[in-house]
This record gives sequence, C-alpha cells and structure tokens, in this order.
Amino acid sequence: MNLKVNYSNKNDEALIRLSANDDPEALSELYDRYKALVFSLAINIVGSHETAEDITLDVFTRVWQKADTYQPGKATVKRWISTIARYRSIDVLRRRNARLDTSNPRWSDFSPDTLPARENPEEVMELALIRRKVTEALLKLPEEQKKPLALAYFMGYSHRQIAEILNKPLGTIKTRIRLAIHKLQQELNVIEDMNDRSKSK
Amino acid sequence: MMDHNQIYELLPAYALGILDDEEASVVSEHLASCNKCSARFSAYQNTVELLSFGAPRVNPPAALKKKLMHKIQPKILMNDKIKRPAKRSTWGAFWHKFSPVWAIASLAIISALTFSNLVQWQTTEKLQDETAQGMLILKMKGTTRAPNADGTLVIGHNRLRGVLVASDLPVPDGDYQYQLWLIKNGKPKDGGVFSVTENGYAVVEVASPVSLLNFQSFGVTLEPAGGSLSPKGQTFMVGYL
Repeated sequence: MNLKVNYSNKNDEALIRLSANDDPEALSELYDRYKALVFSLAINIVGSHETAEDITLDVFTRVWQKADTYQPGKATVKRWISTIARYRSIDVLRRRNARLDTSNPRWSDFSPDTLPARENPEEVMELALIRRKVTEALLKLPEEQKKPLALAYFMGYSHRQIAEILNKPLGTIKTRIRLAIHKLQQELNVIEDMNDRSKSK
Repeated sequence: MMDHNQIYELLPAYALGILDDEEASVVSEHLASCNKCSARFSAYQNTVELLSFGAPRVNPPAALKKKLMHKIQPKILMNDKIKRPAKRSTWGAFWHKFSPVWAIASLAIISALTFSNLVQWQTTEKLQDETAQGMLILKMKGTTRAPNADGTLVIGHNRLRGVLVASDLPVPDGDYQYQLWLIKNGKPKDGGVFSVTENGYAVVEVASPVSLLNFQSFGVTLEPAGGSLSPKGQTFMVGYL
C-alpha cells in the first residue's frame, strides 16, 4: 500500500537521502526549491536562457546521480547545489570561449518584478530583502574590487588569469579580491542568519 | 612554505574556488588543523554563497521539470514486496561465474535453432543477417534494491536477438514477475517477462523488431505477474549502452 508522503515538510538533507534511495518525489521537491537559484545563476554566467536550461537539467541530474556522495557536515544542501551549478556554468562558458563582459550588469540589475511568484508571500518578501542587501553591499564595493571579483565569481578565473586580463600585478589582484570578499562578509553578516532560517527546514 | 598569515589571506580566494591546485592543497591542509582559519573560511563560504542572491531570480520553463523527471525514469519507487535471496549456494556461485559463457551458449543454441528453421524456409536474406558482426556483451548491475544482482545481456550477430542471464535477483512473491525494458529516449519498450529460480537466476530470450543497439539503456523492474504495459515497479537491474 502506498502512503502519500508530504515532501514539502522534509528538510533538504532528508530529501537528499531519499534521492540517494531512488525517490524521484524527493528530487522533485529539491528541484522546486532550488530551480530558480540554479537557473538564475546559470543565466548570469552564460548569458543564454537556452544554455541555462541545459545547465539546470545537468545540475539536477547530477544531484540525483551523486546524492549518495553528499556529506552533511561539509556544506548545506543549498551550497552544494549552488556550487555544482556555478562550476557547471563556468565549465560550459569556458568551452564556448566566450568573451567576458566586465561591465557587471548582472549585479547592478535589481528589480522586484523579476522575483518569481511563490505561494508564500512572506518568503517572497524575505528573498527580496536578502537580494536588496546583497545588491547594496555589491554596489558599495569600489569598481577596482568589483571587476576582479566578478571575473572570479562568474568566470572562475584564477588570480593569475585575472591579473592578465586586467593588466594588473598579481599581488594587487589578490589583495583586491580578498578585500572585496572581506568587505562583503562584514556588510552581509547581519542577513546570514535570516537566510538560513528561511531556507533549510 | 606558507606561514599562517599568508594562508589567512588566501581564504577568500579559496572560498571562491579560484586558487591553483598547489595553493588550494596547502590551504586545505592548513584548515584541517586550524580552528581560527576554519571559522573564518566558513564565514567567507557563506558570503560567496550569498552572492548568488545578487542576481535577479528567474524560474526556468515549466517543461524543464518534466524533462528532468523523464531523464531519471529508470529509477522508479514502489512499495517493497520481495524477499531477499539467501546466501548464494555453491550451485548459484557456479552459474554466476559462468553466466557470460552460458549466455553465449544459449544464444548459439537459439541461433542454431533459428538457422535450421531458416534452412527449411529457404530464406536467403535472413541467412545473410545471421552472419553479421560478432556478438556483443552488455553487463547489467543491481540497484540498491538488489546490490548483488548481476546480469549479462548477450546481443546476437543480427542485433535483433539476445539472451539475458540474470543472477542473484531477489525472489518475489508469486503475484510478481520481473520484466525487462528496452529504453530509448526515456521511453521503455517491453523486453520480456520472466521469473527467477529459488536462487534468483534466470535466462531470458530477448527479441526486438529493431536493433537492440538502438536502445540507450536496459532495465529490469518488478511487475505484477504477466507484466505491465509500462514500468510501474521498482528497478532491480540496469545496464547502459
């Protein structure tokens, strides 16, 4: 006899465990929770909706195939999935040998209208608040820090590669990236806890 | 050799995943034994994770989910209705060791019988098909429901016929049988229904109107006795071309 299980009440780690045991409903719930995160990240790295769709499919297929390798103590499920998404997107972009757009439109384009509709209006507002805080923190970074950070985050370039692209000394690039992350970490410290409460159950 | 301060300064870049292999290795080793750097690194990781929120959030098209669920199709969940096999018997071990040979022998016997029929029918074209390239062997593996299960699918010369030799499949209740599926583009076609011996073994003749090499994967599920029109039960073995 099949009992109807309420997957929306399960936390992320439980869903990963169920996925590892071949439960497609668990993957379906994970997909619903993180599809926007993965898809948005992919679009912002590769710049193409169609490619982002392929990447999203790849990412969740990989989540399904590698669910048994997830280690709870190492990272949250959200971080694990977003890391897979980011690296997959960077990998696809590098294979296309795309030229980098260094004007950072991705981080400067904020509009509440682009938020996806969800059933829970509180969640929409909380996401909007987090995004506003992150955007404001990014806007506060000096351009000389934002550019190398964007190259590192969206393209996965190493210090050395970024130094070459921007024609700056290696030491300068290392310092600017370090300062950028450190500054963001201080600016965003307040909202880290909010984000944890709103996501993983 | 880097000192503590040098490693400390690399932590943001490590969180971004942009250190070269050598630097990453040094930092990783240091983090394993330095609580202060580990705590700082964790904070940087949280920060990098939040950067994803800087981008406008967009949903993918609704059809993408259907694609995903179709792609993972071979793994289907149902209630467990089977007994696990007892320890492999000596006889079972014998079959397991020689299953590829037995599969080939079975196919040779089937081919020979077919050949003799063809001679009687005097059909020249079919004789030519039977002498095409060599046989192919595809290994199938048990899923988490049957981790010890093993399968060998031998595909014959003309690619339209084959023999599956399965071992160590759990023995189901009398109301259930196993069913082989030939899967292409996520769509399964019936490959035959079969039962296993008390030791979990079966030899199954497989026939297809199109080349078996057209299919991308093969799966064995547990179905109500007599089989199903489409897979409804748990998957016990899979193999991929």
